[in-house]
Amino acid sequence: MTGLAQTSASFGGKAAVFLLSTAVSVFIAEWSVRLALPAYDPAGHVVWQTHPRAGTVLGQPGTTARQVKNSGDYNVSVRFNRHGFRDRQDVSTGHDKDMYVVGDSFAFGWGVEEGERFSSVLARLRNERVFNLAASLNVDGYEKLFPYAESLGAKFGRVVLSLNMIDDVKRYAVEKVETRPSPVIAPTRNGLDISLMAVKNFLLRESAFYFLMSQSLNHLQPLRRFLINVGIIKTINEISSALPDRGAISVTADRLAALDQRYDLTVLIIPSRGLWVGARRSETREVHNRVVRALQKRGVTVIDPLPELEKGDNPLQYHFRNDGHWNPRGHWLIGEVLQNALSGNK
Amino acid sequence: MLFSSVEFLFIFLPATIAGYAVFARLFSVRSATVWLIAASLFFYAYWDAALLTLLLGSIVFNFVCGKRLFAERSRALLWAGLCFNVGLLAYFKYAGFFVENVEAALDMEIADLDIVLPLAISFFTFQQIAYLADIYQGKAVEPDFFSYVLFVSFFPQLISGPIVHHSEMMPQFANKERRWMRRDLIVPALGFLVMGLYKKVVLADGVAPIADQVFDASIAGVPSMMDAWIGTLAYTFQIYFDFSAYSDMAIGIALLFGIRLPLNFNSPYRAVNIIDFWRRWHMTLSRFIRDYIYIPLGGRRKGGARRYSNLLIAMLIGGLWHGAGWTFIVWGGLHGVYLIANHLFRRIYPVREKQAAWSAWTGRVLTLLAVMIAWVFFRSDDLWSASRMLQGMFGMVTGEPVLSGTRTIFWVGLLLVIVWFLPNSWQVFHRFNPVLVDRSAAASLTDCKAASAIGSKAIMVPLGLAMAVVSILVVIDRGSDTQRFIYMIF
Repeated sequence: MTGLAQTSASFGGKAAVFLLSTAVSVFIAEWSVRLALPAYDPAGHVVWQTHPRAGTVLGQPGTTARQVKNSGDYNVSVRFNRHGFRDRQDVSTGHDKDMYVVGDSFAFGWGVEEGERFSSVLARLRNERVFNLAASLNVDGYEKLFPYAESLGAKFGRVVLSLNMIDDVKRYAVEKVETRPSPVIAPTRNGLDISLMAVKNFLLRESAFYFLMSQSLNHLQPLRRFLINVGIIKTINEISSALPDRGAISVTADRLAALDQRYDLTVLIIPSRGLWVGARRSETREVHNRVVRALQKRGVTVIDPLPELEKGDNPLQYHFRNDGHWNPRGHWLIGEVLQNALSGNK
Repeated sequence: MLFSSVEFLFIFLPATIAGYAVFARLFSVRSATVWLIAASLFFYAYWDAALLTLLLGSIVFNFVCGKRLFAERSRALLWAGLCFNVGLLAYFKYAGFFVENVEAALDMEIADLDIVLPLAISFFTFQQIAYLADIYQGKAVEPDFFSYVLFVSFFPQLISGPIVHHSEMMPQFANKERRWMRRDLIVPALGFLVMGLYKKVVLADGVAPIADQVFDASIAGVPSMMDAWIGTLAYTFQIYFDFSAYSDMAIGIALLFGIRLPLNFNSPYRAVNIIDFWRRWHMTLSRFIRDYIYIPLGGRRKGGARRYSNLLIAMLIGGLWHGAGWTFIVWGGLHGVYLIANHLFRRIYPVREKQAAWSAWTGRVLTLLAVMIAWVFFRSDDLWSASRMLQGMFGMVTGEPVLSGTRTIFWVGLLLVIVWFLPNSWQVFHRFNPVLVDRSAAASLTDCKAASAIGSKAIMVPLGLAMAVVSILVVIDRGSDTQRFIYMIF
């Protein structure tokens, strides 16, 4: 018995040491990746924070961060100016002859370099200043950007407001509550799935080691296919968002029409990927057209790039492969579409 | 093809091991040796095929010269051999520097030399000089041709050392009973390989941007005091982990072929004085300088002043060995002065059997500070940049800060803890007898109490696995953007 007890104690001790050293090893792995590849360090990623003066979320003023996708779609630098905007130009010097782009992550240039996003393309094509006032926002937030920029000294001229069909059209509350849907993955089906996704998203947000590992696994195509088949990896095409109803369209259109009364607004429609992937393509198209009509009916100038995107029969070529945002090619196309439309309007 | 590159780790090394195994199993150890020579020459040629001729020419010349010396111990022949080797180094490594300085002194243009520095020339030349000198002194055993070729070209140590000695390598290469992948050496082989890879791709390359930022800024102006110290400390750790990584990987790879290399690196920042530092840093170079420069100059046989001048000359040559530039000469000279000061101090305060902890730690900190100041010259592009760094470090001029945040302080602090308190690879795996060590190094085995604990399976397995996984992922992620080992340019 004594021998057995000793053996058990010895085994238990070794197991405890093993478990402890495994935990320490994981910790070491995490910090090793942060040192070796600072681009994956969560501390260096884009952080949105409520700007006290703007009353809405903006980037951390005066900081440089990175946007990295673990599928390898992008790894870009993001520099926020002293006002919290991703813009080398200072909006406080903005004049009413300048142009302004207001919008969400698409206008922000999610995943592309600052010079590649459509506002920069437009500035080059028009050879004039185009200020970019975009952040991870929706219509509630867009409305707050105008007075904030004016308080800084900006004088608004023509404004291009990008309206994201995936999540900007909704029944906004009378009491404006600022919300931002997660840009990653919406919870689905069952409890197990939700917790798995929650853990995945947490690790993706907080762990450099997990980020690097998942990125490497993503590059191994057979393994990636296997993980997709067993449901551990969700592809962008599986992620669905609820389609807005007539009420949501009406509320959103009213809000933008009200904004149009105060500013020289042009609404740029950002079509949903649901037009080309997923099971609800025709409904998505119907909603798309309905939103355009609702805005036009209220006298808002609308630029809809859908026909241009669909011209080559492959609209997804303008998006990242594993992320719904536009790639540099998409931004270039939108810049051209805007330039053509705005020149025609002039 | 770097040790830390995808092509080396996943193609060259496995293919070489597989080929070696096939030849050793199906044919003979001799045929496996020939395979290893072919792989080593391919490894060298992969950098620049044109320079393979130089390596082969040097090997053949020295082998023939050695053979003649074995037959007849002729002083003239020895000098011919030494002149050939030193001449090669002088032309390829120092001619440009010499002409440049003469031109500057005379303010005229003499020649536009555009000489490519052949990789590893300093290493293979020194090895062969030692070989010829030892034959002349009757200390060498005549090798067969293949053992000799492998002695010079063995790829694990060809590019950045250790500077191996014929007496420790040739018997191993000539041993017909040599086995590859020896079961008793697999654990230390993989252990050294993983630890070396981790030190390079995570620690050395991870801290390098901090050093680069500060030293690059010093080209244009004086860095702030904080930046100058952090930047210097960052470089101090970068070169430590970079060189330690190469030495570890070389030892690990050689062990896979059943070959033991000499220990080249033994926690030098734990040294309690500068003499101790040189017994731990690039140990095989120190050995070469002692045996083939310092002692032939007279060593300490000719009295105090002569001894110190010999020491200074030896260290200046050591500095020049690292590179043709005034920064390296000053670095070597500075270490020469440190060593003289250390020896003089010892004359006043002789070494005690057992050093008190406070005394050891004072010595350790002072030694590290002295080494750091010397590294400023070693790393700087020129003497002006070095002086700007030193001005920043000692607050003589207030410069603009370039480093931001407290993160850099955290990293260099963490690395200091690692180098001072964690065991080195040899201490972890010493029970496997993985390297060739002399007695003075063996005495330092006990200077880290954590070594045996970390070396236990329960800790080593998960830790080694984590280090391997992280290192491989980082290597894959960096792809072709792999940083060279610092010592490769020497």
